[in-house]
Amino acid sequence: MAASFARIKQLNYSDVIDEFFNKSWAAEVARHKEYNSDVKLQAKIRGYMVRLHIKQMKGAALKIQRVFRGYKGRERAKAERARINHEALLAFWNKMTVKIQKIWKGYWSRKAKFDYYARKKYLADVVVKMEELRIKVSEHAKEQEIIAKTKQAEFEANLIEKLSGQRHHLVGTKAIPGVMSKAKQPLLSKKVEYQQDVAEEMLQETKILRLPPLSKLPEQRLKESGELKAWVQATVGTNHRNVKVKAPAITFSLVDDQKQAQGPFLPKTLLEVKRGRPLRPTLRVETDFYDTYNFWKERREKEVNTRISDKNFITTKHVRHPQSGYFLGGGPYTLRQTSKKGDSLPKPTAPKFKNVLAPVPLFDDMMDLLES
Amino acid sequence: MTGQTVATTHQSHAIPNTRIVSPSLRNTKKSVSSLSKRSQTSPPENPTSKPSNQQASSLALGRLANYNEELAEAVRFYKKAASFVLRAVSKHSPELAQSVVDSGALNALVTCLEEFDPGVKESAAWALGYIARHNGDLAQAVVDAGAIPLLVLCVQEPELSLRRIAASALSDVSKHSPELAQSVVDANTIPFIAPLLGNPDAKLRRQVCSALSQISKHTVDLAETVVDGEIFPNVLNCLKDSDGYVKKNSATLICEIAKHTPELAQLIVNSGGIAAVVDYVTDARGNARLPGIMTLGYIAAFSETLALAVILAKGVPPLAQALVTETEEHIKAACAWSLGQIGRHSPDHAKILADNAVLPKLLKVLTSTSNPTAAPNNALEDDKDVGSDLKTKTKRALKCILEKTLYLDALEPLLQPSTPFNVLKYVVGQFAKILPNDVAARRAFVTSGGLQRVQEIAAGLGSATGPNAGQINILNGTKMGEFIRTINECYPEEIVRYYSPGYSATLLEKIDEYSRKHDQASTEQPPKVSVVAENNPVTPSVAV
Repeated sequence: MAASFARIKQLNYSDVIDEFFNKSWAAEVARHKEYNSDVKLQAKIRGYMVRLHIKQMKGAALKIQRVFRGYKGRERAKAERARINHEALLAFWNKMTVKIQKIWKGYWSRKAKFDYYARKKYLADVVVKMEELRIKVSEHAKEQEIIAKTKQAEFEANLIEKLSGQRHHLVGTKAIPGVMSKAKQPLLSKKVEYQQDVAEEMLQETKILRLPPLSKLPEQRLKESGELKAWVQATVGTNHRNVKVKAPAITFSLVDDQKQAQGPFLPKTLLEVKRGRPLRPTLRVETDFYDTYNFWKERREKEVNTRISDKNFITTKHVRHPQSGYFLGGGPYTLRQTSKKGDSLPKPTAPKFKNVLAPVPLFDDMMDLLES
Repeated sequence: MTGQTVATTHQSHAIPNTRIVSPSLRNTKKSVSSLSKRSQTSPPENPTSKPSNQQASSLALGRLANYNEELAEAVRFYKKAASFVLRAVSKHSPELAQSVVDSGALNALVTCLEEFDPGVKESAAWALGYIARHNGDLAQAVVDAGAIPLLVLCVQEPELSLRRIAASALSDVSKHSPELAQSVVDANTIPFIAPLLGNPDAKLRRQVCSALSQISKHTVDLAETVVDGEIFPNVLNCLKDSDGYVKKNSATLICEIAKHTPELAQLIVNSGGIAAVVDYVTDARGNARLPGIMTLGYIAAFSETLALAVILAKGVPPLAQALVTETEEHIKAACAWSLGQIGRHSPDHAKILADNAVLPKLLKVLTSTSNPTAAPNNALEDDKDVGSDLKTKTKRALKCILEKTLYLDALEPLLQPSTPFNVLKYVVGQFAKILPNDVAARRAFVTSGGLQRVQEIAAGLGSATGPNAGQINILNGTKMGEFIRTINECYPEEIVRYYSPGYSATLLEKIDEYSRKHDQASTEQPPKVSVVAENNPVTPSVAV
């Protein structure tokens, strides 16, 4: 090759060189051209390929997004639906709860807290009870009054009995002329005197009547009363024949052959002497002043002597009640019978049915009740 | 005596003492009588003013107390006399009673309570009661000496006077504190003394009522214990007793029970007790009325139903009557308070009070106690006056009732410029509540002249403060101002203006102004016609 190359170089060196250069130049140009077209082609193809790839990726991404979003959306929708459903349900439940509560509260408050009819009945019962009590209490007061009156009357009767026992000498026929004294008088004069006597008697009667009852008069006043003295002077001192049967109460004389005045009409000195005398009661009623005391003493001694034990013992019993708060039982509107024999009030029964639609105004009813 | 065996044992106990004081013993009888005389003659107002007297008494007491047993065994009547001395000394003051206690008399007295002779027991119980009545410490000393069970035994004795005195001693012990009352109750007192309320003896009933009320006044538990003793039909009978003190004490007992809880109050209502209390309030006069009045108030305060029960028992008229007729202030105050408690529950309650003309009576009480010249500003200063308690109670009662009153006929008479400001504001407030919601009432309010009075009141209040303070009108920013504004807003402006005082003057001014204008303009039309024409739309609407 080197020999051929050298031969060619010898023969037409210049031409060959030229041709070589020409041809290499052309080849170079062609190569450039081809290179450029290749680049272009490749660029095109690569661009296409990349775009295609991008397009594919985009499509895939869209698909993924679409599917995922669809999934998410469905999920959200499901949740939303559930929420809405739940809310609706909750609202319904709340509504129903309120309804139940309302009905229950109404029932409960009517039953336990404020039962209109029970209250009305309670108040009516209280009014009835109060009237009953008023009657009972006034009856009791009346009974008490009667007892007090009878006691007072007994006391007064005893006093009068005692007084009459002490002053019986004032009403004897010795002091006051009896009916038979008139019989001894002559008939003629009787007619004339009759009227006078009646008038006099009436006068005297009125005089006596004017005095308050003897039981009310104190002893001292009775003795010092002028009226009584006058009466004694007029009636007791003299009999129907105007003969003095007793010295008048004012002029007591110690030495007198007349019969001595008795009881409280004794002269003061004698009275004091009499009062100073030791008490010698009659055998019938003989009791010592210390009798009761002595009896206690004896009894006590006997008791002490016969006593078995010195220990004190108590004969009382402890009262027990069923419960400490027994009066509180049975709800706020039940009446408890406090009196023992009171069976007039009916037992509290179940409330009767009443028409709720037209309730009667309570206060008007109550006022009617009050007025009636 | 009580048997020689007993006497000898006592002597053997007292041997050391006898030896020392045997000379003084002979003179004891003298000293007892002289002592009792001295303590009787000493002035009861200030017995401590004679220290020599006091000292001598206490000295003698000490000796007596020491040798009391022996003495009494020798001669029983000494016990009675000695107890009498103790009683006479200790009755005057806590100091004297304390000196009696210090000298050890309590134990001697308690042993006297164990005696058989009712007279001795009686005087010992009496002395113990007098010692215990002074203060809690002395009463505690009596309790510590173990007197209570013996007193309870004394209550069960047949002798009336002993029972009375024992009951009164129990009352004196239990009145001081809840603990003392509890110690009385612990001795099982209630079951024995409660049935005595039905005893025929009035004085015993008195003391029993007093003892029960003193026990029940302290706590709810004690009150319930007393109620458990079945006091109920009897105590109500006692309210209509022939004896005045029994009545008063039983009313106090009911009051003390009712004040504790709604249940106890209801118990009284259920047993029909209010009727008896109301009758009691109607019959009683003066201070005796007070417990009845308070009972009604306490019961009414607890609940609306109980207040209604008080009303149904016809409790309002006697209260109102007591409010007017009673002269003492504290009774009036109690009446006012009770009425307030009855009326504060609902409009219905308030209406019944208004129907009984309670409101004007309360107002009269309020105005008669307060200074009539006082301006509304001085309301606070007036409260410190003598009748301030009555005044505040009356004012509160009026407030409670007025705030519930919806009955316009009752409110109208109170709507006067002369009504005190602190009451007037509640009256106006009620109108301000009612009028916006009630058309008929609005019309009636105008025709009855209420609106005019409201305007007068507003003007009066405005002028009262205007010159003094020189500031903004009092009605701005106060409740009263708001109420008046609310009332005025219910009516057309012309009507309000027509009724406000001084409107005629402003009208005349307007006429003058109008005529002046006309003269200046020198028109031919006569001015009067136009004035009438201008005012026409205002007047006829009002006149209807």
